Amino acid sequence: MDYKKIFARNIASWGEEKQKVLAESTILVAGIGGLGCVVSELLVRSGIGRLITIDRKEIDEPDLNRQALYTLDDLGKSKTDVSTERLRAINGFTEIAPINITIDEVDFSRKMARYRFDGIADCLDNYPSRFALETILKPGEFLVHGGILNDYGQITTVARGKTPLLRDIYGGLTDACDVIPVSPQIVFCVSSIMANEILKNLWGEPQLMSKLLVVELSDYSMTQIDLAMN
Amino acid sequence: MITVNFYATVRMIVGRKQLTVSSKAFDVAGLLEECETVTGKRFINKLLNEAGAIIPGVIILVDGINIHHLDGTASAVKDGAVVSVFPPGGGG
Repeated sequence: MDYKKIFARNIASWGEEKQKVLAESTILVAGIGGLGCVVSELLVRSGIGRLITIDRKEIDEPDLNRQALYTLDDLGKSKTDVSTERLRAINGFTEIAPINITIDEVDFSRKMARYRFDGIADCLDNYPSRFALETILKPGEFLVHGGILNDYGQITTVARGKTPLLRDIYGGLTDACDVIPVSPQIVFCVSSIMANEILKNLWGEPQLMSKLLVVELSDYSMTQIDLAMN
Repeated sequence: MITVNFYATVRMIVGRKQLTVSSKAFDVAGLLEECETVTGKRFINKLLNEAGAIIPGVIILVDGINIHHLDGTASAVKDGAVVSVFPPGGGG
């Protein structure tokens, strides 16, 4: 693998120093569904050194409208198995470490205690799991949250002690429906912004700390809601 | 003055992206009633249930703080406040 050739356009865009930072970084991607597939692929193509991916589900037909790493041939297979294979095939640079577990309140933090990472990509599809996920966030680490519905979504950076936590922002929220309608377009749009914000966090220049960016494809608006700690 | 921003599907229900209302002493419930008066549209029944609690899938922030952590719909809204009514996307 010719590192300089593969990442030549990245280095031309953001420079060698920033590329080196990415190469030495580890991101935990929680959920390899719609958001997780695109966020993971973008991080690999950006040149992240190591990705820890978490999911426990198998690929199902309704996933194929938006989960970009999977095809008809993958139905019934494990998301972590297939995504690992596809992500490793992109450029052979990023180390992929898949974990096939459920993110819940009970055992999750204990199971994750031995893993080290710089930041987390919250690509989950329900709030109880998100609240469990952020329990493993330590001071100095960051979590980039994304959520989508229909043709809109939101993104923010969470840092313990510096910004509101997801429990602060979304406390009391219950999911409105069992089957969440989502367009493929909003998945790619929100995922791209999440991946960009992850890079910005790694470079020490996050843009969405204590800000909730709302992206709406209905009128192509992007609006920032200022968040406060209570 | 109090600024109220509506997002996504809530904006469609209310029919406005933003409202500015006079700064009478409000709580969140009173502010939403004032918004109904200003717009001439009835929408509170699509944001709050019969007990006055917020329906599933919607959050209301007063100056960036979720009213779930304040006094719910009885939370005070002061002059100059920015209120956001948002149905966050839960999917991933």
